[in-house]
Amino acid sequence: MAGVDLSVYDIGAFFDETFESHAHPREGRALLVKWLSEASPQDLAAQQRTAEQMLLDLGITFNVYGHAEGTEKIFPFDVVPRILPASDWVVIERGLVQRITALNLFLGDVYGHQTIIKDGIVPRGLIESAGGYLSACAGVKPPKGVYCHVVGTDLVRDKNGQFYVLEDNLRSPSGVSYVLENRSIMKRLLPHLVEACRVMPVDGYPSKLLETLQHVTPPGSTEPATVLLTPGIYNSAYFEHSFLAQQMGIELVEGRDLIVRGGYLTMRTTSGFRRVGVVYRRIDDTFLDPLAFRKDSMLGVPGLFEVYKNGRVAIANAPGTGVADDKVIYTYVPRIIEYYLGEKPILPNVPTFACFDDKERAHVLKNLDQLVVKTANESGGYGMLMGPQASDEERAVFAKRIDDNPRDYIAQPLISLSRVPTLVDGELAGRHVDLRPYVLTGKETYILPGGLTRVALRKGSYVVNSSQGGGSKDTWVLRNAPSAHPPC
Amino acid sequence: MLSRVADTLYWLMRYVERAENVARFVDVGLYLSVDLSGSPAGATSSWEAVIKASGEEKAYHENYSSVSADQVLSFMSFDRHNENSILTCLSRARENARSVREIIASEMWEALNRAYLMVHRASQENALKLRPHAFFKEVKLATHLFRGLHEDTMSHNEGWHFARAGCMVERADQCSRIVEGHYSVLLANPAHALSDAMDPSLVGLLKSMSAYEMYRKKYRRISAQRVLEFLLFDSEFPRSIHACLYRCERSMRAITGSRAGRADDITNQRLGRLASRFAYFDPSELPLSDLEAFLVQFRDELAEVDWTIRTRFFGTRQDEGDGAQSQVLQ
Repeated sequence: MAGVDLSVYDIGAFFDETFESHAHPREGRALLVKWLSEASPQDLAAQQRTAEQMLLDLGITFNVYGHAEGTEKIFPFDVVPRILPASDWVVIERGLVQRITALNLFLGDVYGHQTIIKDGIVPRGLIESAGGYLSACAGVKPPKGVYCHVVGTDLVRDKNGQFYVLEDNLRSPSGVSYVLENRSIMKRLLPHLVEACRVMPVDGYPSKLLETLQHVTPPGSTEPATVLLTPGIYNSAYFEHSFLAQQMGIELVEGRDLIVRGGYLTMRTTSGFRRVGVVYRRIDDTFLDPLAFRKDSMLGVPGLFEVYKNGRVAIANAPGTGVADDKVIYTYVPRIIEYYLGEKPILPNVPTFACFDDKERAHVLKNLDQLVVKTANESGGYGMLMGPQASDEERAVFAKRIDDNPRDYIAQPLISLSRVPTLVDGELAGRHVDLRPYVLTGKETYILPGGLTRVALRKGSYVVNSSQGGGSKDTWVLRNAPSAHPPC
Repeated sequence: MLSRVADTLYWLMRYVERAENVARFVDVGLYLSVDLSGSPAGATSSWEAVIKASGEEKAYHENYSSVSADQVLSFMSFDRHNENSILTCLSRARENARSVREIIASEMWEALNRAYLMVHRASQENALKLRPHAFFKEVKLATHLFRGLHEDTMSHNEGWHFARAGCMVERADQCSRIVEGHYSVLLANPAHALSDAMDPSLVGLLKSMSAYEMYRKKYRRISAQRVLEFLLFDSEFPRSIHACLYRCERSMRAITGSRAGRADDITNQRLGRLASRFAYFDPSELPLSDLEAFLVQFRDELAEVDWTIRTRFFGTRQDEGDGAQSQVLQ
């Protein structure tokens, strides 16, 4: 049967990651393109349906709680993988190790001696006004000095294929379970293709994560437990919490399972109380402990922060990391890298205007119709203005907000995101993507070879968030081709 | 293991068992109503027995003004106002399973998720009109599959025993309700009592417990007294109250690590006392006229065992009502 007609696939005025020019695949994509050209549209559609049924059976669905009769939806998944050759990956890996090493040093400094402030690199006012800055953490050293155990940095590529860091996500990034499940589905759907392309495996992540967490176990007691703290089944990332706990074989706990007794953190079990040494928390800083932060938190554990301050429990990620992924502090990251490591940044930032600066604010206000405005302390696509698409009224609202609170806003040019062929109504069409690799820091820094590729399924859309028509793809990082074999 | 997790596993299995029992006796009600259709009064009373056995008479009469086959079927299968409908039970079981996904085997979660999605689909496809028996059979197969996976894919550890204890407490409770519901309708009509006219109803009762064939092998002739003896006191039939209590006791002993015959724990003491009463009971001492009082007392004592398990292991406190995931025996 005739395969998908690739001659009608339109690269458009974008960087297409699979095709260099009309019907000519880029390095490492030849096998994928061969498969696409041989698979019939019916085959592809059948693969797509099988993948969706697998996700539904696994219960990897959006929560629509509250609607008794509501239907459940899966996070859309596209069977056409996104491929990154080893040559690209090497750069990403080095760039991320460099960036996260510097950010960890920065956090230790901000909550420690503050030399970067004293040396005039980052203004004190900016740090202390960051939404994620926790003054209670000043002088508190987390076990082994690690702040960001788990990071999910968002990367994008522009129309020349250049990678940029879009956001750092240093608090509790989610999505890695999709990386593992997407791969597990692809291995069942297209085992031969995965094998032939020499894709780097991702299954090692749970073991690496456990190793990372256990690395910071406080000394002085026999085998305190490592637990994953979740807000509970109504949280939209609950699937991931239980999935990771299961894969690591650790307890999945809720705040009500934990209690501080005699200066230690313990959990309530059927045979009494057991000490907890490491908490991989998937709740926000301010909900951790109603005695230290938000009084109304029902999710946290009264007294937890005191135990942490005394070095008797490790919290991953450490409280207070949010100061370093504030979007204004983000503009300083290249300088932060140079300050601590004496190196030039390997992965550049997206050019960014910080509105607290009078000159930059004037530029932003004059060019609102060409810029994307973001709130400094939000993530996940909230509190944004897409200037080129916004109405005059929307732009006026943001102009006023910027004038009222310049510290809270930054602006960036609209990056013309790279595209990847995607199955749309039985045919291939280019759709915009971003990439979130996952980085673990324990004894050393480890980058999972892969990552979450989010794809904007709507034609022309740049918004990859799942709440706004985004889906995901499996991300294939290829091994370095051995010289005995021709590159695939 | 975490108290909350133990609590959740216990209730997870109770809900699955409850869903299955509802499917069983509604299916049999449907089967029986065919034979009884000659006398409308007889058909209505068999549906009334179904509602009574479910313990949801109040909810039914609040939502429906009359008793008819269609209404009872839909109420027992899909009605979310019914705390014990198949859909409600499986939806709760699934929520519980979701919160202990990392404890149970993934096959168990997937099987339960599929079971719920199947029932949910059936509720929107008018399955009760088009293929009622096939639907109830699917429910039973799905719950059998789930219990089989529990047996064979999960380590027989503490959590497994809490789940099995929950399953056995629920099954014993359901058995007493189904028996009571059936006998109360039978005995209400003294002209029929102890005559052959009871046969179809007793056969239905046995079938609803998957007990018909095993009963025939043991006693052959159907009699009201023998059927009662079989369902309550038989030591070999796995759905009799006696067998349920025995297995529940074994699980609780595995959890507390105590040997049979020793009452070193309050749970084992209460459960052991109740189980041995069924083990050594002389059925001839139970006149049919006393049946209701006997079963009500049994359920009170079972509720006490349930409460003991909850306070002793799940951290439920005296001043607490039901936890979000728990529901007291009615």
